[in-house]
Amino acid sequence: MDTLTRRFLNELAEIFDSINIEGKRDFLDPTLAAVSSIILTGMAAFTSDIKLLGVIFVVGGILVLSSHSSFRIWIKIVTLITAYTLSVSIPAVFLIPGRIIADISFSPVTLRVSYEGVMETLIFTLRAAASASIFTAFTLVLGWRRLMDGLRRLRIPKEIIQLLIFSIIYIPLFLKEALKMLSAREARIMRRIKLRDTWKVLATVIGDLMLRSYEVSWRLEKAVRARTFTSEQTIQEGFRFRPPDLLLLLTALSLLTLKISAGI
Amino acid sequence: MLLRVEDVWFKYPGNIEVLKGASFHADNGEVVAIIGANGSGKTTLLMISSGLLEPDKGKVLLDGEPLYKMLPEARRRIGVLFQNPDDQLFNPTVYDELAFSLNQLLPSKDEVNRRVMEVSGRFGLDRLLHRTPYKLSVGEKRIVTLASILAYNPELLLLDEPTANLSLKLTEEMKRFILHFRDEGKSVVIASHDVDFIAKTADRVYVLYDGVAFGGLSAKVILSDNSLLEMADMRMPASLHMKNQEIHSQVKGWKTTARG
Repeated sequence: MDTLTRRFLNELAEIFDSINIEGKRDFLDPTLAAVSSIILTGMAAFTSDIKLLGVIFVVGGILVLSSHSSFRIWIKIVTLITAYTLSVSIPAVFLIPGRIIADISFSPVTLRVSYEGVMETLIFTLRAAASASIFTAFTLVLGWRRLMDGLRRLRIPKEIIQLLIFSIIYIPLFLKEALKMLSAREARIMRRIKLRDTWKVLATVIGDLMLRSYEVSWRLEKAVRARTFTSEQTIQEGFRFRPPDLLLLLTALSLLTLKISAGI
Repeated sequence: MLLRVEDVWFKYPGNIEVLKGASFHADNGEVVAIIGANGSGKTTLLMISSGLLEPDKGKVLLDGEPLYKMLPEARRRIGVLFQNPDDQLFNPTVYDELAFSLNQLLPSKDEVNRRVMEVSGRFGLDRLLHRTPYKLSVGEKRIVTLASILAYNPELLLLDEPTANLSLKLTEEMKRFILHFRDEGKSVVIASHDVDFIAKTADRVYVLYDGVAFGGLSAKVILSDNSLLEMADMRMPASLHMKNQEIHSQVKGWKTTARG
């Protein structure tokens, strides 16, 4: 059980680390790519159209392949998110009322699978998969930093952008910190105890992590202030249209127009 | 007088009184060290000196003007090196870390880039520019934090435990760098436990004890005073200790010769 926790935390930290990359400098313009990514990710998150979700998923894959970014990381992230979404949405198969298509019997309990429940779970999972696919693709191609540059140029408040930058740095750091704390606690469990009692000890990590995060944020605020001389960043850059930017933006806008004209 | 801290009092939440009227000053072209036991308030005093914490009472003057009235612009004149480099590195890459302050000061991306390259070349960071700072070794992190400060060329450096976790070679480089900085007419304030390092770098030394800074005399005088060093929970630096022993054995030799 603990090995699973450890592996999960490690994998999660690695995923955040793998997104925090430089990205391809000359492939996409950060601003236009940010616009395309907002449109496509937004559509994937809110539509119930399975075909559209499929198209957005595929666009994500094509983007990764055509930019020669890491397909392995992309598939890893998308698979993890899809698996997680599927696992949390499975109860809907049994809970949503509708036309019963199967009975699963765990004596004395019988679970009824409804068609509506299956469809809801499927659409929910596909939405998550398509959103993950397109957003991860943009992040891998551009790199987190350039994606943030794009958002900055779109006049998104700088506080939000700074929070996003910090989150990509500090989430993996805290996951690793949690792993170290788990190890430190495990090292002091010296006899066989019940799983429930082990969990009680390991759960104290949460409290410690909260205290640690407060301390870190206190120092971080000081570190940022120590090197902040003005309230504004002075450097701004303009757009640079490239063929892939145009193609992506046109794809995003066409899909959006088609969806709006067909009714959301 | 570049920096003057006068009668500063500071309490942390929970009524933990750290500073009780501490005063010190640093002139241009001078290295000043603040020594003291763990928890004596050295870091707090540096934070107050840089305007990152506001004292409950007392004054911090930069060139005779109250520091807090000149913030945040005055920060470009002050460089702070935190005790733990992990607290100071908050950008996704080493390049961003070096460019963070420059983006606020220089008018174009090209100039920022030129300056980053210049600084990274000077500190041998070229091969690390696109690495994530928190994945570097402790020594590399320390160099990145120092380079990120020096990129904007401050006049006053506040260094909190600059040699903590550094190898001998890097400690030696840090010493050379501090002395070079001083020779350019700039000021350095060091809060440290490394008494040998202080003996080699500091011109004057203060001992922080019970919230008050004592001394402020030449490093040689303070670091050979055992009672002051005991207050700081420190021992005499090896170089001075050996010198004292040499003198002691020489005197002993004279006495033997005289008797003979």
